[in-house]
Amino acid sequence: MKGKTNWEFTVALVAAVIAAILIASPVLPGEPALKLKLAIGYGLLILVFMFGLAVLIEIVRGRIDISELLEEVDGGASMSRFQLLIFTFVIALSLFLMVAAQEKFPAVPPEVLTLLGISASTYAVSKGIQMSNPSQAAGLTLMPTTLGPPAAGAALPATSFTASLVNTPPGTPMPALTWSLDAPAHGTLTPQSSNIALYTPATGIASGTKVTIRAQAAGYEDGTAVVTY
Amino acid sequence: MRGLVALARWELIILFTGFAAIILAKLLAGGIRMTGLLQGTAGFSPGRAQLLVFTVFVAMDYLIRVIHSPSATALPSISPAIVGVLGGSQAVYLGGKAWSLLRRNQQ
Repeated sequence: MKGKTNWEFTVALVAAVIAAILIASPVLPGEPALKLKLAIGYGLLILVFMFGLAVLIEIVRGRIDISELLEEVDGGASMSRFQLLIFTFVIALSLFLMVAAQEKFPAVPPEVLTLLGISASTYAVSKGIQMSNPSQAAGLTLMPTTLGPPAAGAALPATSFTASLVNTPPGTPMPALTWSLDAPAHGTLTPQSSNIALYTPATGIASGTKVTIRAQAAGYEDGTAVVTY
Repeated sequence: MRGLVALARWELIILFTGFAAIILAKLLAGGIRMTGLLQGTAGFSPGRAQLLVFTVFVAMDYLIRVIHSPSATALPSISPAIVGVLGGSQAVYLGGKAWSLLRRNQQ
């Protein structure tokens, strides 16, 4: 998005202002105070809707990347993020259903707030545990860490990725590695030695698509590399 | 004012459904990576699995209760027992995570 004009937001702002001016204009009948309320109400509704719609469209177009919504910093989906996502949606949907049925905001019992509090606290504590001593965590790293994007019209080259151990005593043998792609259709990985795998990109993949290459071993943090088409 | 309320309702329906549909579609299609959701540092994690089961169970139970009584004046309450069970489940998950980190650092 950097360096590009976000015309969607400009259009939203202009539409909201025009709607507010039209409703508040003296041409329409009605009490000035009521018209002012309606103008502000419609203006804000249009603004919020257009902003929300712009974000939705950008997510669909892939310009807002939510592929790592559940991902931990060291790779792999986070259970605490996932349950926070579920509870947020459930409570939001519940509130919406009740407001739509009664047209007023329902009371929120303290147990519901406790539930959301527990969920959010779990996420926070989980992050705290994860970050408490990251420098001592034995893990894997991949080289190169990124591949692509290729120049316009060019294809990604087949590339070898090498796994190395970090935060382990000198001389620690390389454990048995499991190589994987988060989207198996986006290329193939062929192990070539105990710590090297050859990535062969797929063809016909949309430009901008990201694929994560992962090397895993029991007891070690995953090593990851990101390929951008 | 009725028009304003109707517009707000439709706006929420479209935006909420849109966001929910996109996130669900991306979860199902792999657009949001779920790899390793049940994996701990040493393979399959029972702590994560039980948290997933309790989370889905409590969420579905709550949603069903809301759908059955949408005209109530307050959101359905959750019994302290359920809150306790879910809190315990989260504690097991966090305990397992802390324990595995401790063990890994001692190795």
